[in-house]
Amino acid sequence: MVKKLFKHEIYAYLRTILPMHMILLGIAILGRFIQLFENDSVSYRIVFWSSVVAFIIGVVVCIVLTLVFGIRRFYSNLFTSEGYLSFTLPVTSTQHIWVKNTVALLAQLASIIMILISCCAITFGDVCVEVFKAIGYLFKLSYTEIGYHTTLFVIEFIITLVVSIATTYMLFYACIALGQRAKKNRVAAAVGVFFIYYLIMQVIATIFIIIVAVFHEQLYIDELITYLENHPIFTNHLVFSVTTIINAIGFVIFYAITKSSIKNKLNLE
Amino acid sequence: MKKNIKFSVLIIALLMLCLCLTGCSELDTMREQQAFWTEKGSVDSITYNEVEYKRLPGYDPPAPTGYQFQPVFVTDPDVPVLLSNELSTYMNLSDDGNFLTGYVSMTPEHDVITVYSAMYSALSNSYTSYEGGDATYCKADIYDEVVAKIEEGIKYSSYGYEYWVLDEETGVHDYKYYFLTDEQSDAINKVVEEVKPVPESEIPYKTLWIASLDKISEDKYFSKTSYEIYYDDYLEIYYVVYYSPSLGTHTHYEVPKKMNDIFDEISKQAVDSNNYYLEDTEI
Repeated sequence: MVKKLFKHEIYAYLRTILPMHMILLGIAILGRFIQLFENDSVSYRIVFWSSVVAFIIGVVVCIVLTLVFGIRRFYSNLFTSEGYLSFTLPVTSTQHIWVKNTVALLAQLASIIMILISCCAITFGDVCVEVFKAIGYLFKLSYTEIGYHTTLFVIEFIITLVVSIATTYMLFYACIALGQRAKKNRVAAAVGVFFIYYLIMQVIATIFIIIVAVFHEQLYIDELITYLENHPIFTNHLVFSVTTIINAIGFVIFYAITKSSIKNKLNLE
Repeated sequence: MKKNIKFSVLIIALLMLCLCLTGCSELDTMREQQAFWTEKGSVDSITYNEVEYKRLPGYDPPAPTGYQFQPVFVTDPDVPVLLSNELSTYMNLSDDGNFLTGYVSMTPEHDVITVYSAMYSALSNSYTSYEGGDATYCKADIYDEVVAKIEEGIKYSSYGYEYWVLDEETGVHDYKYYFLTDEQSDAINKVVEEVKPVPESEIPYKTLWIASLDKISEDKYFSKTSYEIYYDDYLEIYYVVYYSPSLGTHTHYEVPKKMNDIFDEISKQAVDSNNYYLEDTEI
C-alpha cells in the first residue's frame, strides 16, 4: 500500500512541477537563442539582460513553488476533507508523514537538477564547456592540495543539503499539524506557530551569543577560534557535521510533533 | 506520426547544433587576454599570442613607454580561460607589444619566483606569505638588444606624453601616445637648463594642467616620468614643472613667451582632444 501511496504522490507532483520545469527550460533555451544575435547595440543588451532576469526569476519561482506545493499537498491531503479518505487507507500516520516528506524531498532535488540543466541550456556551447572545464580544474586543484577531503566535502555537502530540505519540510508540517488544532483559521494559526518558532530560535541564538560573549575566557573561545583558524579542513568538516546534526535533531523534534498531532489530535475540516 | 516526431527531433538537433556554433564575446575577450608561463613552475618566460617574452634581469627594471597598457593574465598552461582572471599573475602589455610588465611574487628566500593567486591560497592547507617585485618581460627577438642597452645604461633623449581621446559617437575612451619631435624635446631641455626657477609664491593661484611628460629612450622602448606642463591662460604663460617625490617640492620653470608657439604645438594633442579633462589646478 505504501508503494501505491508513493506512486500517487509522485504523479500528483509530476502534474504540477513538470510543466513548471518545462517552462524554466523553455526560458533557458529562449535566452540561449537570444545570444545568437550578440552585438554591441543597446537594444541587444536590453533584451539579453531581460532574458537573464527572467531566467533568474524562473529559478526562484521553481524552488519556491516546489516548496509551496509540498506544504500545500501535505495540508490538503491530511487536514482538509481529503483527509477523511487518506486516513481510511490501510496506512499508518507515520507512513503518511514519511511518504509525504520523502516525495517532497525528491521533488525539491528534481527541481535543483532541472535548474542545473537549465543553466547548462542557457550557456549551451562554448561557455558551458568552459564552465565544466573550470569546475574540473578546481576539483583537480582541490585534490592536489587536500586529497580525499575533497570527496568527503562533496559527500557531506550532499548529506547536509538532503537533511536540510527534509527538515525544512518537516518544520512546516509541524506548524500545520499544530495549527490545525485551532477551531477557526487553521492556516493563519499555522503561520502564527511558524512565527512563534522563529521568535524562539532568535531568543535562543541571542542567549547563546550573550553567553559566549560574557564567558568567552572561561569557555576558551579565543583558543578555540585560533585552533579552528589553524585547521581549516577540520573546521569545514566540523561545520558540515554540526549543521547536519542540528538539522537532524530539528527533524526528529518536528517529526515527533507532527506525528503526535496527527495521531492524537487530528481535527479534520 | 512517427515521421513527424523524427522530423521534429531533427529540427531540434539542428537548432542545438547552431547554438553550439555561436561563441561569446566575453569569453573571446578573456581568451585574448590570457597568456601562459612557457614552462610550468618557472617565471622566466611567458608565451602570449604564440610569442615568447623573456624576463629582463633585476628586480627594478626600467618602465616601458606608455602608461595605460592592455591587461594580460598569465596562468599555468592548464588553467581554463574562465579561471584566468583569478589564478593568474596580472600583467600589462605595452602599447607597442614589446613588453609585459607586472608584479610577480617570490618565496622569502628570494631563490624562486612563484605565481601568486588568492584562490590558490584559499584552497591550500596553509597560507604562504609572499614577497614580490616588479618584473618586465621583453619579446624574445629583441631581448639581447634590450639587455645590452640596459647594461650600458639607458639614454633618455626625448619626451612624450599620453593623452585621452574620447570618441563622441561611441562614448569610448582610448589612450594615445604623443612623441615630441627633436625640436620640441630640445625646447623642453632648453627651458629646464637655461631658465631660472620661479619661486612658488610668484606662481599664479590657478593654472591649467596640460600633460605629464615622460623622458623617452632613444629606441622609444623605455620611459620615466619627468616634467609636467601647466598653462596660465590669463597671462598666456607656460610652466614646466618638476616634482621631487623625495623632497615633496615643485620646481617651476617659466617658459619664455617667444617659445609659446612651440609649446602650443607640444600641447595641441592634449588640449584639442580632452578639453574637459583640463582642470584648474593649484600648484
